[in-house]
Amino acid sequence: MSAYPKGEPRSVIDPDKDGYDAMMRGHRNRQSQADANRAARAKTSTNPPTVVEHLDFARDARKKWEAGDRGQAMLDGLAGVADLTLGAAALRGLLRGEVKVNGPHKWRTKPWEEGLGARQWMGEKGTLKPGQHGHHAVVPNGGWGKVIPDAIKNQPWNIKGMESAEQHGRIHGPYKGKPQFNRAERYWYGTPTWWKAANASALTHGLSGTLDRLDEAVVPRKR
Amino acid sequence: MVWIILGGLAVAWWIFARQARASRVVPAVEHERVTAAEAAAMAVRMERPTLLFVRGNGAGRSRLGGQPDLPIGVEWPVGPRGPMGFLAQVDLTEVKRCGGPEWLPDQGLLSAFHDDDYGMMGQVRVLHVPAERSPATPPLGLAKVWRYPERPVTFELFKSFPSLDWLDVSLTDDSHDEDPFGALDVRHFPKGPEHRLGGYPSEIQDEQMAVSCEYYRRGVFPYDQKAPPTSELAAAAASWRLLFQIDSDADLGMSWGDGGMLYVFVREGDARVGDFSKTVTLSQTY
Repeated sequence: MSAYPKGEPRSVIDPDKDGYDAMMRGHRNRQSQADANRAARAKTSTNPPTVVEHLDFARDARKKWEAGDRGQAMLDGLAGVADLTLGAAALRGLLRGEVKVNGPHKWRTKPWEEGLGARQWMGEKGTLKPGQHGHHAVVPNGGWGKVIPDAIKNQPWNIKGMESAEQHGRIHGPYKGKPQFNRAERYWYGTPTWWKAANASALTHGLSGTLDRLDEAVVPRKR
Repeated sequence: MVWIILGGLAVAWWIFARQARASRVVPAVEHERVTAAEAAAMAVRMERPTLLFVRGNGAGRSRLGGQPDLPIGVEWPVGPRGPMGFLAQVDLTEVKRCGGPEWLPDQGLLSAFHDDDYGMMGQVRVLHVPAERSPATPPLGLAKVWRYPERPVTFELFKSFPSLDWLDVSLTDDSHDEDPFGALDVRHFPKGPEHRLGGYPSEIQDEQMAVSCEYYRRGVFPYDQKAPPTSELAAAAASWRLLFQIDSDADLGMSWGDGGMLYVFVREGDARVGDFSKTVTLSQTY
């Protein structure tokens, strides 16, 4: 039994010194066990890391899951998936050369006008099928989109191919006796995949970061 | 934990795959391939006059918005949700004087009203009223958003040529650098809203509008069709004429979708006898 607890000598007896010794013994025991477990796992694991485990976000999420922070782990995992989806959409766009560099950038040109308009160009590239409606998904053509140059908004990144004229019409209002889509339907049908992925990424990263900060502010750090 | 990530990847793949499938749902429209010279020759043969609505001095009876002139006894049109919004009125005498289509009656007024909550064809209703009429007061139940300010108009004549969609053709790959259309003497519409009467529509999206009109007149949705139109239907479609093209117009508070347009079509035979009860309205937006 130590007369002095860890730290500087005291002029009076430390009432907690017995409890302190027991606490330190417990801590040392838990640390030894954790070290032993880690060594055992390293020795017995003969399988190569899976593809999932190669991903940083997956490793971080798994660590948090094993540490008991399962909500945070799920958010980190979903954020990573959203990032992958966004990256894949961007890469696909780049590989397909889906940027109209040369003008004209107006939506359509008449046969007697020089150059292909954006709609005709997308038709030739295969971004839009013949007869398929193209919906200005993120930046509208009218409204606040009027101040955005055609060269920016009339590009494949902003154009979502529609299944039918009805689907396009119902995004904007009632169409041929059928009601306008509700908010969720307008979001689902009217936004491109990359936009959904970006929203999911922002949402999950934001939630994850918020929860991290809440943890620091509310939950005392374990010693 | 791995299952959650794999599940998320599966959801992401499903989104990709579903949206990729959606782009394949639209049956591809196969157009006949022609050279630019052939397309230009077709366009010249099919040239039609079109009247662009331009701001007038108020001396005439043609207008966008404001109040229509209706004969006593003719009630304000009512749609599914109440009184319809008044869009435009044209004086056919003035239309003829400005060089408008010969298939329109020589006299009277054409007044166009619209309702967003409509069936397959009736988004815009057109009344043909005789010369004797007086200004009609908008009914109390008319929605405020459909009370458009008045803009007196007159008409400016342009030549109108059909688009490649209307002709149902596309150009051969080696034609894009040619310029046979340069000989068409096309005068471009000025910048601004493109409200017009007659001629060919200024399409925003790909669509054979005359064929769509014939489908709607027969009570079917054109995009539900799995096969191309029959030759009989295509022949019947040739009788449809653009009556009005009403553009989105910020100054008038008119907005069709995202800056889109309304296209009101009538069969030539109906128009010649003054029957405007069977028009078909299409709308396109960005």
